[in-house]
Amino acid sequence: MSKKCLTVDDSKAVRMIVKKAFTDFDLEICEGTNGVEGLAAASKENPDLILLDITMPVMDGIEMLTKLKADNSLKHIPVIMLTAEAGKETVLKIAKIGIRDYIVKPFSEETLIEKVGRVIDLRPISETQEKRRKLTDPLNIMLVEDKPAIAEQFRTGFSYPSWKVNVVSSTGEAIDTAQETQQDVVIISLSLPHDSGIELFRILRSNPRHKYTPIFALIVKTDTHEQARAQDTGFTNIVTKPVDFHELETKIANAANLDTSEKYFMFDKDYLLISLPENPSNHSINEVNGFLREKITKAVDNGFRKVVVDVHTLEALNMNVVKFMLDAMKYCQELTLKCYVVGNERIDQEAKAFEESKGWKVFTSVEAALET
Amino acid sequence: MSKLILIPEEELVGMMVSAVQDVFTTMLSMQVDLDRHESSMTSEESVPPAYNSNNPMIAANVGFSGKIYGMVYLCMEASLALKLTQQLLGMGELEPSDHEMVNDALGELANMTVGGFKNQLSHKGYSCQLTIPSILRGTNFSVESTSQSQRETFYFDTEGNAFVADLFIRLGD
Repeated sequence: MSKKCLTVDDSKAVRMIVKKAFTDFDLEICEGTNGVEGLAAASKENPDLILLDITMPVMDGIEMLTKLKADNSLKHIPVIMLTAEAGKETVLKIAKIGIRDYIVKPFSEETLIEKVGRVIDLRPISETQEKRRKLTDPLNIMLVEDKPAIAEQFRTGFSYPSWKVNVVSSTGEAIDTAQETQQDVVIISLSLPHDSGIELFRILRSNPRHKYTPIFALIVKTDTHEQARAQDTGFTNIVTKPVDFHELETKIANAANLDTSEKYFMFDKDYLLISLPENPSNHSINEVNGFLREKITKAVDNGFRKVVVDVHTLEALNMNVVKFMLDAMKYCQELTLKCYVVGNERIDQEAKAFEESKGWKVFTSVEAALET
Repeated sequence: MSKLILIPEEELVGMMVSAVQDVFTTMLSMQVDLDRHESSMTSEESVPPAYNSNNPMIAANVGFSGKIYGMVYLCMEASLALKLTQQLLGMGELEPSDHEMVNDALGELANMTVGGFKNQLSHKGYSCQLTIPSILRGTNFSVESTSQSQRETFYFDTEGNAFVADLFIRLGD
């Protein structure tokens, strides 16, 4: 459930700035233009935090804070003052009433996010979106690497053109880039000088904006000591050099919670096509299995009558694949869908070697299967 | 000329310049420099406008009262006010007729500027509270002071645009 923040300020400009600062976060902002409206909104909305100005017409912030803290049903709501009024006497007076923090105007967006992030758990909006992003949707990846050759590999290594790799070569540049544009994934080379990769990880993690951003460590494959250190530091995952981009894509998709189903499932005119890669790992089989029931149910909802499982590119039919196909056939049967297997002569022979699959009819093309 | 406020002029100038620069750099990401500064004492007569222009003008003013009283007018051409509003809110083109938005943004910029200045006064023992901002629009207006006060006029430049911070200040009764 979204967190809620009430901003009480007589200036519409300030309320707009507050709203804009949190557009990347799953934080609902409600507003009040003076203390009276603020108290009413606090009762009605029960916010997780109040940002409160002092100098306002009708009822000022100090009076509102006093009334709020005297009300048993509202006094638990944490308050951060956001005000140009920072005289010593005023600050002491307010501190005695009870506040969580004090932000003096003028204020930067970063300060606001940082201080609010200390009071409530700010989550990036992308994490909480009901609709998961697809593999082919745009993705911002920041690579922090000072070696041009490796940077070039990353620029051209991914198979999804919509994945944009922003290469930066220093920690300062990385912090600026991450501040300017929300990054979906950050990859930090731990071979940066002076151990600055680890330091950068800590700086990014301490910022609420990047608290949940997947951050990978890029390390030489044989350097197990450095890999262990990266794990202890808390990196989301480790990428080893030389980089296997297929494996990295899978790691990124998992870390960024992308919907990878389109790698395996396609809804065509009147049938659902399920395709397995030529050499599926256990991870791939588990991944495709995770979508199986949902996709077959969706096929029924779409009015489809047929499901085609295409394994013609498989290097070898093994028991894991057979079990997966049995699951697909079982779900289809439960929902009265016809399920067809498409392969080739070799697959047909291999299927006959297993007790569970020896009775399968293996078609040589999708068209041939659909004609039946 | 005897001053009412026992703060050295250099310090007072520094306080106002830092208050203005703090707001412009933090909220607007804009460079601002002091062109010149004038100091005078007002009588009960009207005070000549610090800034003359045939173009529409806007002045946002915020006061402070307590152990010390004062009023600061941020005075500029309406076109600059529009530009500052767009910059503050990160918005595209605003209509020049959108007075409500510009008034609000300018009022807030004045509030932050005077707040920064006033907080420095408080740290020097002159504790006081801010007033709510108000806005004046017109092409030729002057300010009248009901009692003698010290006037400090600061002429600023921001990226080729001029504006004035006009401070009227006197000790509390």
